[in-house]
Amino acid sequence: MGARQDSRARRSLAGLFLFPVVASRAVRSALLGASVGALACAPAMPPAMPPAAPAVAVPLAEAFEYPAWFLSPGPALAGTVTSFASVGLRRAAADSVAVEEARARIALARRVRIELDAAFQSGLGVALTSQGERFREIALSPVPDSAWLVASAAVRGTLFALVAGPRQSVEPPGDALVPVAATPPAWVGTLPRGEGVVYAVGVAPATFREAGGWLEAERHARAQLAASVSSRVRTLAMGAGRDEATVTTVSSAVTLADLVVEGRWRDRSTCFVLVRGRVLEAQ
Amino acid sequence: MSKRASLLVALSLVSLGAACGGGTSSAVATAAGPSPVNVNRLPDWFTNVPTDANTMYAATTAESRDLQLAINKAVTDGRNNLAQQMEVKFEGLSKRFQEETGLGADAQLIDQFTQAYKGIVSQTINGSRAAKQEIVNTPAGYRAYVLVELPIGQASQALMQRVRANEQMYTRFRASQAFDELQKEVERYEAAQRPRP
Repeated sequence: MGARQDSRARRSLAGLFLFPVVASRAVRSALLGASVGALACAPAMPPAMPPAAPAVAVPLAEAFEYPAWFLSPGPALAGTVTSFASVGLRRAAADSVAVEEARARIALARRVRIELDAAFQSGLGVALTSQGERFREIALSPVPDSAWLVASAAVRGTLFALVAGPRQSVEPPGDALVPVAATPPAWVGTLPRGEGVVYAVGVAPATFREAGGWLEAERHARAQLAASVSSRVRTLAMGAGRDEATVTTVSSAVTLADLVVEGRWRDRSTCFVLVRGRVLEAQ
Repeated sequence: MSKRASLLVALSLVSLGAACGGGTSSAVATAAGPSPVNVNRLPDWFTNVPTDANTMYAATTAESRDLQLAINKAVTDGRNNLAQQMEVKFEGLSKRFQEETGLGADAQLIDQFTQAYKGIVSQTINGSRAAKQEIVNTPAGYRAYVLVELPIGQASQALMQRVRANEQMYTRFRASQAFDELQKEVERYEAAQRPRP
C-alpha cells in the first residue's frame, strides 16, 4: 500500500515536473508562430495601431540610479569623459583602469575622423532588414600623457568614472546617485538645435554589465552624428510588391571636434545618449 | 519519501523558472514591457508631415528585431527620400531654366546644368537630421518612426556655387526667374546661418 502510494505520488510529481517544459514549448511555438505570421504579413506601411504591451509595473525611479553628473553632464563638465571599470577590482585599481581607458576617449572627443559604411538588405515581403556595418574612429588629436579622476561612483558592479585631461580644471561634482527620470527627456523624441553644432541621439539595448549598453549607445550616437553631417545613400531595388528586395548603402566620412555627451537616459530595456559635436570637415 | 517529494517539487519549480526565462533576446525585449517612449498610435508628425519653405521633410519607418537597425534603416530611407525630393525639385528648376532661356537647342549647356544638380543630389544629403523619432515595441521587435529634415538652402547654395563656376551657364541662368528663386533660397539659408546678436 505504502509502495503504491509512493509510486502514485512519484507519477504525479513527475507530471508536475514535466508540465512546465511541455507548456512552455507550446507557448513558445505559439508565440513564434504569431511572430512569424506577423512578419510575413507585415505591410510596407506600418500598422495603424501597434499592439499594446503591458504597462511598466515598477516605476523607473525606483529601479535605476546613477550619479547626476553621468545623466546630465552640464556645461561645467565640458571636455571630461566618462569611462567604466569593473568594481570586482580593488577600488584604487578600478579607478586607475578607468583613468587609463579615458585617455584614449579624451583624444577621440577632442578631434576625430569617423568613417561609416552600412548596407541594409530587406525584401521578399518581409519587413525585417539585415545590416552590415563598418565603423571606424580615428583620433586626430594626441592621446594625453595623463588624465585625472574628477569623480567616481559604483553602480551595480560597475565603476562610473568622470575623467578630465591633464591641464583641465574642473570643479568635482557631488557623487550622490539620483534616480533616472520616469519620463523621457525631450531630446529622446526631438533632436535639439544649436548654433554651429550638431546633435544626434544614439540608442542601444541595456546590458547586464552597465558599461556595454551605455558605450554602445554613445557609439551609435557618434555614427548618427557622422551620417547627419554627410551621407551618400544608394539603393538597388529588384522585383516589385511582395517580391521586391532592396539593398541600400550609406557611407559617410567626416571630421568632428569637441564631442560631448549632453545627456543620458534609460528605460527598463534601452539606453539613450545625446551627443553634440562641431563639424570640421565633411566629404 | 517526503525528502524525494520535496526534491521533485523543488526541481519542478526550478524547471518552471528556467522554461519561463528562456527565449531569444528579442522575445525578452518584447515581453519586458513597453518603453515609456512608446505610444499606441502613429506619431502626429508621421501622418501630418510638416511643411516649410526652407526645409524638406521625409517621414519614414522601419521594423527590425534589432533596435539600432530599425532606427538606422528608417533614417537611411528618409535620407534616400530627401535625395529623391531634391532631384525632383532640381529637375523642375532645370525645365524652367530651359523654357525661360530658350535653351532647348543648347543641349550642351542643359547637360552641364543637369550634371551640376545631379552632383548635388548625390552629394548633398549633408546637414540632414533625424529631427524626431519614436520607437514602438512590436511582436517582431521594434518599429522606428523618424522624421528626417534637410534645409533646402544648403543644397541650393551648393548648386549656385556650381552654376557660378561655369561662366557661360551663369550668364544665361542669371536672367531667368528660376535663378531668382534659387537666389532667394540661398539668401534665406545664409541669413539663417548668420549668428544672431
